[in-house]
Amino acid sequence: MTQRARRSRWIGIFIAGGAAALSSGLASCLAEDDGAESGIDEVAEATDAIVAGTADTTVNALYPATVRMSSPGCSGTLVTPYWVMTAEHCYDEPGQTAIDVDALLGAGGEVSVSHTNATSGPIRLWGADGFRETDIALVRLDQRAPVPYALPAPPPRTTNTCGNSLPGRLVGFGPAWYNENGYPEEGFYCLGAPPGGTRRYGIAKTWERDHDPPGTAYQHIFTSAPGEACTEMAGIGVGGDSGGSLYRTSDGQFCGVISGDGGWHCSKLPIYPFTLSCDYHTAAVDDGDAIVWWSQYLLDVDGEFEGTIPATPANDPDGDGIASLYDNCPLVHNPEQLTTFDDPDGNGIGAACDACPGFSALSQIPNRNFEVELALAYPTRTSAPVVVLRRSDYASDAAFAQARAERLDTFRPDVCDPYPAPLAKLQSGGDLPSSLPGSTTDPSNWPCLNYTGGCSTVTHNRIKVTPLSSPPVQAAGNPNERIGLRWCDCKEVTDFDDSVMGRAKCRNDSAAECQFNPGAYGLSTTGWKQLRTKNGSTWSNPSIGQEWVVPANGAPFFATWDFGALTGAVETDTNFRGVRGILWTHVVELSTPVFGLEPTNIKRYANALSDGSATQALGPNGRLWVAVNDWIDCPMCGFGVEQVLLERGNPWFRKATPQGLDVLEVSHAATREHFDAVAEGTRLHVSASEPPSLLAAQLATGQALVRAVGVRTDGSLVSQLSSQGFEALPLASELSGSGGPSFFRGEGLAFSALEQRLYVLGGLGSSGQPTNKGWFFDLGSASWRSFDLPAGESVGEVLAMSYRHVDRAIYFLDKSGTTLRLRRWHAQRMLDAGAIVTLATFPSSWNAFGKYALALGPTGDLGIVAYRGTSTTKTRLGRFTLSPAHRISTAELSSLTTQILAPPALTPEGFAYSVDAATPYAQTLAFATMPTAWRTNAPTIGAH
Amino acid sequence: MRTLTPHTLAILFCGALFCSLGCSDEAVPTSASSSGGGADTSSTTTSTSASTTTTTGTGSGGDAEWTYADWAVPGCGIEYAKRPELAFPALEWEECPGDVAGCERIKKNWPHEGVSGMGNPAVMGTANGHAIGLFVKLEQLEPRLVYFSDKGEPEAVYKQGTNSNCFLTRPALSVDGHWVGSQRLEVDPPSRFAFQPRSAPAGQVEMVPFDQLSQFQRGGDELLALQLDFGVGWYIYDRVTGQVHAAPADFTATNPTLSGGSAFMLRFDPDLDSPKAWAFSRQSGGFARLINNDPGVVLAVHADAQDLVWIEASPGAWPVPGTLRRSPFAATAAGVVPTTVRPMPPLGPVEAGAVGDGYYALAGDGYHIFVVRLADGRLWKMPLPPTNDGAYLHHVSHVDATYVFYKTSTHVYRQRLDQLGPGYAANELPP
Repeated sequence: MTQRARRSRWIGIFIAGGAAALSSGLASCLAEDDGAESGIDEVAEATDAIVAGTADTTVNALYPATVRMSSPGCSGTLVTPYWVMTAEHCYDEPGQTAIDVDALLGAGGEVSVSHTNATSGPIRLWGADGFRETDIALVRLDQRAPVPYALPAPPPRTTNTCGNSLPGRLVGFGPAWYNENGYPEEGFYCLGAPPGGTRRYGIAKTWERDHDPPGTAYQHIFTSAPGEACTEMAGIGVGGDSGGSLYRTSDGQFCGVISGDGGWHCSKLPIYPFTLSCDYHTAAVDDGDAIVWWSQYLLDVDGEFEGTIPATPANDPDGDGIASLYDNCPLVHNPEQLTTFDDPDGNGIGAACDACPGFSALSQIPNRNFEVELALAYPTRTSAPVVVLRRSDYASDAAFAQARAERLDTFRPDVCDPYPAPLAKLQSGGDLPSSLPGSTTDPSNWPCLNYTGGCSTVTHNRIKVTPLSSPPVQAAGNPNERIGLRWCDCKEVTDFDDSVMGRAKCRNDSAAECQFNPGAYGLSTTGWKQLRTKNGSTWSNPSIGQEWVVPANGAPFFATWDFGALTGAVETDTNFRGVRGILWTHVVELSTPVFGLEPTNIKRYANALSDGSATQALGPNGRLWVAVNDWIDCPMCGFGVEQVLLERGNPWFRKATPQGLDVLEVSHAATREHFDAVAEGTRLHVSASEPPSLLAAQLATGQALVRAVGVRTDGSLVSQLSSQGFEALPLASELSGSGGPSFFRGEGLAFSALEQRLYVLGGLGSSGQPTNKGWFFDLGSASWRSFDLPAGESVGEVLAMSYRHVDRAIYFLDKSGTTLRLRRWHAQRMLDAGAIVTLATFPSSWNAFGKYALALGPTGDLGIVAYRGTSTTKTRLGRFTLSPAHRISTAELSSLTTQILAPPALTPEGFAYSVDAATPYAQTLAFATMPTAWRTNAPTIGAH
Repeated sequence: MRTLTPHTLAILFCGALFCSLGCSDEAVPTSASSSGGGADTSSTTTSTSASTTTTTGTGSGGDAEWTYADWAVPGCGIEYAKRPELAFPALEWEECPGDVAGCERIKKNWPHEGVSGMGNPAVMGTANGHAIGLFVKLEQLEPRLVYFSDKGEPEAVYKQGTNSNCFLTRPALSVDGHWVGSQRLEVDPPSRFAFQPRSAPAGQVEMVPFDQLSQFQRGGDELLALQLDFGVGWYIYDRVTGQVHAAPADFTATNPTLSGGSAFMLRFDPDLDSPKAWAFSRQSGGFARLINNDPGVVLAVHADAQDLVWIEASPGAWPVPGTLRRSPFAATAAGVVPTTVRPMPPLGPVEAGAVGDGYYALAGDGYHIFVVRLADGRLWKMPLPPTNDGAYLHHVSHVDATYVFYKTSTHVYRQRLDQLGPGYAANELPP
């Protein structure tokens, strides 16, 4: 038993899934519970959270900042749109980091808003001499809480604002568990029951600082007078109220975090079947030490609470008075979010711009018939335009409402699409039927792509096809749904590739005859050809009307596509054999209406176009090849968000994605200018450090994501590259960036898309000497700030730098003498706080490389890459894990005899990197993923 | 939808003064032994065409006088040749592979590589043979849109620049001239279409008041049919009246067959599984149902100036057997006087077909063409030549008493009808 537990019994908390925690809590409870009693006849209303409290369910909730946390089982106080302040003891179990703020209360009843991916938390306030006064923790939500139902209640900025005595109320979500007789179950309190479903507040009582018992440890908490509390039971906290709020009744000022009792019990009260603790403690949030602590996290660079940046024309394009960073519809004028709850599905996207209301996991849902919807909405475009809906642009509310509705009718995710489209995925592999047209030679004779880690040419011209029904179609019950596939040859189309633009070129090409006519799917003799397929053991003849019946359960199944039967379309060369075209997936038959629409309408629009290109000779996980004009070693090349390969003099991006190469045209002047400057070396481009998967999860439809920033090397300008949607081309816009640093040599740059901040550390400056000054540029305020490193610290040439979202720290590589070392600096709000820590040094074998890179994995793994090697080993890749205590361990390590072309990315499977493929395609880029289990010859790193 | 401006017949003049804006002097070599192109008097007659020979690429010999087409979409570099005979080789025909009697195909006497470097042709019978429009992709050179005279000589040649976002539109012929257009993705407006009268100097065109992106175009003597990208709408421009007619909303239809001031198509909505025959006619001023055979379906409808033909069938899973019917030309339901020609083998909806000189040719599937003599219902089932290159049928472009023209994924063919063999009588069906 810890000292804490001995000193006092906690208000019970629920540690999900923690048997040890339960047993520990039970032991604590039994040891100190001296008054359990049962068989009481009357309980009345004194059974809910905040014992005998009042449900806060009025139309205008009194305490909307107090939120429920199901994991851990506590309450909390929303202090900014992103931050929740709760009790530190809610995270008392080692390693516990879970947070799920899943319900808020508001007008008209309960509104559930799930936040299951807190980006930060908990951040604990640790006390040196006790715990009551420091029983505070902060967690940062994965998305902004909706206003006004979770209207933040910031803590006071000034010490002792709440005074030494205040009338106040406790507010929390303590459990409302009942036994079969309708009485509260005592034991649950001690074990830590889940919080109840209702926010309740107690009666106003007097709370005093340093009241009982007086002394140092109690100078920083508010306690209620025992006598008063035991006389007025209503308003006492129970299990699950921990972390809740103490508000001053006069003005609603948030003053304290519900902590627990102090061991002073009013036991065996006649009407309660359990021991109540009347001497309650709340940690004072206006305590001087506490203010110093939470200020680091809650206050922005301007000293304002995060989330209170005033709207300006620059940061509020839709003109609704809410800065985009905190706007649940940054591009749609919806000031109603301040007065009504307009996010019923709790996905952080306001109803005004939510294309799929009622479904929260938008980022996980594909939009299969995007191109069809794009054509319907914007017939002349091949990419979705960024549309800003301002009320001032419309003559009436009705016209504006109509514009909103039209906007929402476009680009619906598949899960709520009135015209849900099936899909077919191409997968490598498949068997080779013999004696059929197009059967190919032994692929083992073809050369492998030139990379280490194994060589394999396993893909034949029989490509597995997985027809996938649409989830809504399946949900509606369509056991006889039939899916058809057609294919059109685009190999003669200039610059054809798997993208909306590429397919548009093919559709409109006067020779390809791939025009798309969804109602005429069954037509013969256009450019669209039926696939020769095998379903089960039977190969079909190439014919019109090849279809599959989707299994009744909608489960994926495999068919096989013999593209070799399209002999006239097959391209053959030394290293590959394949076809290039468009795959058209179509609902051929449907029996049951979906979303109330008749099957005929669904058949008309339930079409999807996708990549119909397939090749025979590829390496493992190999993708399409692409020839390029010129390589530029650009800092954003890699396998992350940008994955851009610049072609000098060519207005195209080739963007590598896990699904292949995408091509985007850069017609946006500022963006062209940005990348031209990057290519010329006059501007630095810094991609977001956070892994793409993390950013993708963060991004919801309608929200813009800043994916990179650019800095002019004289520090005179900062540009940001943001996109509307994850797949869209990031477009550059310029910010006022005067007053920034000049870049000479060796400066480390890292950009955090989550923090909206660019960090600059180190560098040799004009004097060639290390510097003890750092810089950051905050996108919210569009201003540079400099700061001094901790005393005695300076940083010289930085070889690579990145921002690790897990611990909000900067990691960078530099050298001490000739020793390569990995260092960490906590880039918290207080920029001059925290020393720079050396985490590891590396053997000398890591020195013989020209370039280094750091890559962050989705789970916080750290990839350290050395490349442009001069010896036999051209590339060295290491994946390292970091413990919560920041101990670094080698997970995987490998060396390549091949040069990689750009900084790689860390994926769950390993590294993804680009290499120059084998001849004859000297300028061919092949993407490959390292196989797992490739640990070889791991050197010992010098962990510190 | 963009508002269309009716009957805007802007006549633009493009003279040599504009040449410096976009000219290049490259040309495709003419063949020293090219054969008469459109003439149908023999299969491989040899003649001598223009004597000037140039090299490929940027060769400057034999200046074709490429001239910037200032009516086209900006940024696409569309040019036309003032001396078209120097801009593209004369048409040559060669024997089909497989020793197929009466079969010829256009010889790729231009720089080429690959298998499908040309689009579906426009073919128009004349007193002397056939005029042909052809879109051609050239290896290492810009695409060409070429109109050959019935002598096989290029009489109009267009090319576009290297912007891969740009497209020259499909060839379309009229007795008075030809249609031409250019489109560019991701600009607004994306399209320009024009009619080049034969009587006017090259470059002096009539503009079509339509500027939306069109994924398919088909032009005739008087009409130009335009399908929007993704098939989300059909428009018909009437050169006689200068008006643009929009099809009804949700008009999902096949590419139409044009005849005079009328257009004929299968419409697939509201029931996608029940295609119906519809027609646009200048006479009625709009689109209307043509064949009322409910609850039956229509699998094909085509026409020329003399005959309207269609295939009726019962609803059912395709392919289904049908009945070929014929009427004297009519573009409205009231004018249709149906007679039965013959039963047809099982088919699905067919777009690719043509009527001419009392013959009807249509795609049977991806690898056969049916040719029917309307007078007695005799049918020929004609396979594609045995090219062994995996080619499949794209389009049936034209039929008359002498030839059927068609396009596969690799070549443009013409087949003499008198070499098809005995065929099947009206009461017989091919296996």
